[in-house]
Amino acid sequence: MSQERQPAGVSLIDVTRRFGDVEAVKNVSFDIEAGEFVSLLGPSGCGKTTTLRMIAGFEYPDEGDITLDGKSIVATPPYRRDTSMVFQDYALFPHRSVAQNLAFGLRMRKIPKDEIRAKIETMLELVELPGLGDRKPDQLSGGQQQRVALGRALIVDPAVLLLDEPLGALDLQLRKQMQLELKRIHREIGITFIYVTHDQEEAITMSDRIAVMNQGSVEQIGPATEIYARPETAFVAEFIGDANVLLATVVAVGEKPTVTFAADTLTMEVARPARTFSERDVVSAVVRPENVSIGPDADSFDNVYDMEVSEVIFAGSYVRIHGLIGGSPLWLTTTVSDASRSNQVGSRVRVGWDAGDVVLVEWKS
Amino acid sequence: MLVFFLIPVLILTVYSFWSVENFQVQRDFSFDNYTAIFTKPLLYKAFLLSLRVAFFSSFGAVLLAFPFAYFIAKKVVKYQSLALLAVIVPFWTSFILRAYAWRILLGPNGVINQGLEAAGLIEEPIGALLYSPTATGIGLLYVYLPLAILPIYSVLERLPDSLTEAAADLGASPFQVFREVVLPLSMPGVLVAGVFTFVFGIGEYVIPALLGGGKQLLYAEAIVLRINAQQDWPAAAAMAIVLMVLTFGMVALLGRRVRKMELF
Repeated sequence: MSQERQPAGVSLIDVTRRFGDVEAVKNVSFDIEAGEFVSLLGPSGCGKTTTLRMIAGFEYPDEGDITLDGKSIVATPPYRRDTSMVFQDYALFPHRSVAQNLAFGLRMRKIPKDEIRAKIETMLELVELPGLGDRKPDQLSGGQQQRVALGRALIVDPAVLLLDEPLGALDLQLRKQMQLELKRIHREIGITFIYVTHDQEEAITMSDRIAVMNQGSVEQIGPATEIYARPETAFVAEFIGDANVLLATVVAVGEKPTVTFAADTLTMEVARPARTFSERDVVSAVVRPENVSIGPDADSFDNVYDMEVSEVIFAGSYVRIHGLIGGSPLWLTTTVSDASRSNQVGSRVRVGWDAGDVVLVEWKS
Repeated sequence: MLVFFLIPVLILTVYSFWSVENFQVQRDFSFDNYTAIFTKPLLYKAFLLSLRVAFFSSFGAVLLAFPFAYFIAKKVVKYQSLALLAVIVPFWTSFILRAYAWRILLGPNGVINQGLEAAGLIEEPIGALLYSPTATGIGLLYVYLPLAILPIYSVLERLPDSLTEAAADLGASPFQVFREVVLPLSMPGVLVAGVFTFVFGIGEYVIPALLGGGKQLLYAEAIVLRINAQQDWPAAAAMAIVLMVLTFGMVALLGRRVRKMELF
């Protein structure tokens, strides 16, 4: 007999992991709520997989603590942890059938045979593989193997499901479909999901919150909309969505904060930054391409400049326009109809954006 | 291949049906040489003894080799090539030389006896160290260990860590991980190691002669006896062919079995 597990929260407290001289994970702290879907997002080598593996128990933290449901788990071996992992290569047992793969965790827990059989049937339904229990893993497509791996991890009723780039090996079409399916399964069973990915779109599509990691540290954690609108570092701004990151100098703080930027020392009004800067601070001013208006309408915005168009790229549903303002490169996106009105390469156009659309973050070269 | 293998084997086969009278080869045709192997007590006892020696030495070598192979494949990843080199280095020295080296180690005035004497653990050298089944056993294990390590190492090395991690993640204790995942998936290598060492062991001649003292007649020794002492080449040929058919049969069976198990 097994009872439905309550979802559990996961906390990392000042976790550091070194491999030789390299700090793969540096002083990472975050709290994940019970039942939440959180993605660890970052480029390869940022420490996201190591972080996940420490939660699973395959790596140990050199410093810091990891708690599950408030209790420290760093001394608990993986086979006694209430977490389940979906591996990047699926790690299906090649010598066992789909049903035997699903049964593995239940057998280790000494669950009676008839109960195992019933659970396998239910799980095959949940991951939409009914009737394939007798197949061997190498007789399945990549997508089907992925579902078996998911089912095998879920069947033991873990409190937390850990997913290590589980969709990385699938083609785009299948990946999109599986993203929706993972969301559905998360909604249906309600346990905590921690999802490692380097694909920002995947993270944005699925997660309640995203932890953006870079060089072993968590740079920002929050809902996708918040991270997108208010990036706290230049890295986050560029990693999530597209961004113009302009080198700028603070010239006025207070009611109307102002910075200067570009070779021609253009001035730009900004809304009050999330963190405080002082005058003469060197900062990165982040402007999203879709927040830049072009053409006569641009004059109504807080910051208005002349731009020399250097490139017009048709990208399907939108057009990308690259140019120079005051000697500094800038790009923006606009609708096809707006673009066709004005802009040929070499022409000068008006561009503008609101103070509220500028985010100031610390300069990082 | 044709000249150096097939033709000699054919000649051997023809020989095996002939007979010998007064040290003269008679070119007749009979199965007597073959029936003798399984009816003459001297011969079938030697055959059975060889089977036993081969079985135990291959079983022992595989048993010992597994932890070695596992250690090299999974634990000393950084020094893997060095560890493998250490396994292979003995092959660069003559087999006979290495067998003699063990005589020096095990003999009455050998390193082991003198060491134990110097340590005051024994007063008289242990004579039974050399020229005993124990000595043969040690020698055989020593010679077969690298042969058994290599195939087991090669399957373990290809075994993805994610499989053992997945098993542990699903609640398998280290012992269960071994029983449920590592062992079944390394069976092809274990079988190859077992059959290889068995096939070598059944024709074993040098080690039992040098270290065992030749107190009991082994099959290969019996063949030599036929040739040297009795000049009975046809009988020796028949015995050799029986041995060859047996080993080829095992290798062929092994090949089929392992192909079926190719899992990754």
